[in-house]
Amino acid sequence: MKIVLRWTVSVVIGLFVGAIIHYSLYRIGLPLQPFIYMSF
Amino acid sequence: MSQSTSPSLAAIETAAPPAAVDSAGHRANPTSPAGERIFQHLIIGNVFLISVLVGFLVCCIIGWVESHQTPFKRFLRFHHWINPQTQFYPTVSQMIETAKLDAQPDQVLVIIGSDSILFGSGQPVRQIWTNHLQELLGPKYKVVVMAYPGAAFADSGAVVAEALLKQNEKVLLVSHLFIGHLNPLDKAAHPHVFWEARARHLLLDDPDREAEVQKAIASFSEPAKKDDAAHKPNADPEQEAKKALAAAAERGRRREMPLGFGLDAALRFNDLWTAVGYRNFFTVWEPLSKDKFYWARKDFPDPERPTPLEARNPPRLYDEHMNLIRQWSMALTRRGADGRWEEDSASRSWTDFEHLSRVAMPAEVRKRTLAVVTYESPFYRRDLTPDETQQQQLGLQGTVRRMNEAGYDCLTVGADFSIEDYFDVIHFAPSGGAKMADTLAPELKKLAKQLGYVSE
Repeated sequence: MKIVLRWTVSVVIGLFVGAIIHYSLYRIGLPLQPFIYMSF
Repeated sequence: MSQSTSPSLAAIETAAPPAAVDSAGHRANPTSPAGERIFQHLIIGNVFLISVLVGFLVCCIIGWVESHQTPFKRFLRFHHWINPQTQFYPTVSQMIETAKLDAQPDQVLVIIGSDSILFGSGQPVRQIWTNHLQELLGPKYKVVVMAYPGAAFADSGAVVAEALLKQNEKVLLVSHLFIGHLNPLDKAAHPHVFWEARARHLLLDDPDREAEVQKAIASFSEPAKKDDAAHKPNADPEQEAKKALAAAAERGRRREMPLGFGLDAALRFNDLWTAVGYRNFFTVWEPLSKDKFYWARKDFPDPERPTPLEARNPPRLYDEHMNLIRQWSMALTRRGADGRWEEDSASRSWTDFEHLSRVAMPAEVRKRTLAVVTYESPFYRRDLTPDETQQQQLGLQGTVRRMNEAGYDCLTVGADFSIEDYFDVIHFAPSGGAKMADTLAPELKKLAKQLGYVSE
């Protein structure tokens, strides 16, 4: 039972961290401010 | 980290860390912090690392799927809440899929590109000018608005049109430009669409433009030029420092764009998280949506509203708008020997314009493009002096002629429009938009026939 729990926790947290890394790549590419404040 | 070597939770909690310290105050026999010990107890390292990889790869695969379909439902245009004004950046692949959605195989796709003027700022959903254009063109054509505020002549819709052309679609492009003005690649307000398309190999081969691309990449790495605003005697130092910081961040972002979009072309993070932001929840705070920033963008309606006539040209903006009109033609004309105004053909503004008109897009796209130059509202034009009016006419004529010479089909719109036809100094009210559609529809039909898209 304990090993199942550890596997489950490892997989769930691992998948979540993988998604967060993927999201981070999207997020760091966005400008700090919407362009409208930069251009006008 | 294996099961056999992991201590129990009770053991972790009861194990007191050694208190002994050396002469410098360091613990003599340091143990891991509690958080790390719990992590080691609960997590199987190899399983965790493989799961991270799997999670990342699954996101990439979903991103690839999202880049081959449109998330947008009942799409009309990229309104305020689904365009970069509010930190929402539809990817070029999603724009292309949106343009193709529901198109019949033989239909001519009429892509409306560029800026807020063709986007229909000030025109509510039911009165947007492109509805009238679609009626005039009929079922052989499908009008799709890919414009959004701030986009330039060769941004947004122009990139989408080129990508569709590469996919052998029947395409016409309508795009707006200001008198004698085209943006170089490194000055684009919305650079992401072009760079994203280039990284995904969606564009046609064009050696002249590629030379411009290399120049732009080199310019991104140049040190910042001193901003004149920073030397204004009455400038607020704190505000100027903030501006300088934001400008430096923007320069850095542009420098990293080719690399960033190259990575995105393989990993498709922009497609996935943009689709999530539209359908499920948005993850980026921005000041206009405030406490609703996390709402799915599909839940925000198109906010364009008509403005009463009396509120369209506020007196406080009169001088600013008059200067806007005057500035377009100022550098394009000079007084001739006879004292009359004439085009200053040798000016840097015209030579830059001629160069940019030929490298902005490939010849195959240029000959499918209806370039539109618009007049400003007569509310302001009526106050121009005869000299200024003559300068403006010369600027307009020079722009149209040069664009036609570069291979576009270029015309002007708005010369005979009334004050009521304008929403403000440059944007059309619904009545002006309908008149613009009346002007453009016959030209588009003529162009389609020339290109062999339709027989009549």
